[in-house]
Amino acid sequence: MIELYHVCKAYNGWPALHDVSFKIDKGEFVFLTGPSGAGKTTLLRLIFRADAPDEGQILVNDRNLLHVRESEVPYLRRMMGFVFQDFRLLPKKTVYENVALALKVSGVPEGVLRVRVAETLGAVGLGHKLDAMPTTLSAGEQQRVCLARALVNDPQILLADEPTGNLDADLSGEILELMKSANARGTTVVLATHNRELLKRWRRRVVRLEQGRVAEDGYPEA
Amino acid sequence: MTRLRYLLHEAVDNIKSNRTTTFVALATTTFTMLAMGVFLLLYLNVQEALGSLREEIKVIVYLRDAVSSQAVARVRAEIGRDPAVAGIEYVSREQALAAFRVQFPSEERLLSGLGDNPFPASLVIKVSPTYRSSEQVRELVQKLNALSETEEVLYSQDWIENVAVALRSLKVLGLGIGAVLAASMVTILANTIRLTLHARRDEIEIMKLIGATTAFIKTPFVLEGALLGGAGALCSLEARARFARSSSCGACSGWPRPSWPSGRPSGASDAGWCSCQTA
Repeated sequence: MIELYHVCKAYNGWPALHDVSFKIDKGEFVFLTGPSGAGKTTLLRLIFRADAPDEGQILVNDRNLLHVRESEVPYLRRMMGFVFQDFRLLPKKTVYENVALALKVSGVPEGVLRVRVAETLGAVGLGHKLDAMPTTLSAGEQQRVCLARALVNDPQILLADEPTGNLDADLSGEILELMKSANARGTTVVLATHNRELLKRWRRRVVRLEQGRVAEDGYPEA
Repeated sequence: MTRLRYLLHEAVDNIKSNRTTTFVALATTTFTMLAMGVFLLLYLNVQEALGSLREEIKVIVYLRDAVSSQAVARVRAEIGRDPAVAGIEYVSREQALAAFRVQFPSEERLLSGLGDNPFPASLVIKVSPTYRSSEQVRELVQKLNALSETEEVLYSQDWIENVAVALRSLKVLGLGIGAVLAASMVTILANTIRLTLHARRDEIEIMKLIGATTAFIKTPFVLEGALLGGAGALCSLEARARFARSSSCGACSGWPRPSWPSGRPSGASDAGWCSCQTA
């Protein structure tokens, strides 16, 4: 699903990633871990084509991102969902509108859209807060809205960058559960985190980055 | 259709929810357009006024006293064939005397002292619009002077040249000021747009992340810009209309009427000084 070959990326001369290669299969759940500044966010940005690698190749769903034109990027992103530590919700739109926007951009008809948004928000436990403004919600609720927005169009890939960074242990557990169930439905999940608790909760493949290189790739020992 | 409705709804929503930015953008558009509009109004009016002064160019041919009425008819026909001549009006000696009596009733005594009618008959020639440059008028005057029936030809050479120079300078000045105004208008509006975009860069970033195409992101901004621009233009039009209504004539209010340093030239009048009077 996602393949990286000798990927290098530097920002203003500072190397963020150096010779990174690994593959993530369809339907896999991968923890991307490592200390702050190890290159986790950079790696995710390269996968959703917010940046291009200086060297190396990245294939997403068998498409080489080097050959994806700027005008095709929106269509590439519609097969992905994103969750961020800082939520990135539109503050002037309701919960419903925030989630619906992810479908509106791809021209989903209003009738289908209404059902899908209500279902997805129901699944993350926010069926009763459709008309609430994001700023009136708790951090855990905001992250669930964000997750609903990421999942509403049934993405093939879910990319999450420190989704539990602002949440306590219980709420982190809830978010992880929601991601697990998305993964169970077939979505490939890449979860960047430095939260060791999460790794202990669910033993899945862990790719550990250190100073821009893959330091470890495998399943943690029981 | 749903999409179009959504994009339009977005534009209106953005205007509503970003009141301060909207107000600043609206005010900027209004003031820049108002400045440009008032300038254009003044420029066009002054140009129109100068142009209409040019339309008034007339040449007066005073005829010798001994010229018979048949000779007058012949001269008239001859002059009339010249393409530079748009119209000829004959003023007989009696008509000239009567006109003098009407204009200067207090000078009746002067006339009785002279006894005989001292006024010569004349032909007032209106110059055709395409022959109004000072060289062309001078050429016509030379031809008229050469006629044996001509006593004297009067025309305001200085006036014609002054108007021509004034029109030329006005064009250069207008182009200069217009260019500066247009450049500042474009800069100010471009900066206003950049500021509104900057204020909403997070929103744009999020839209891009969830797979919105550039057109999908841009359209509400363009619609919003069109709505604001239209509103700004309407505001500036209204302001200009008020400015015009506040005096009898908006364009030339407070402007001095043209003064004639060497006396009013023949045919020149205040009418047409401002197009609002002729309209």
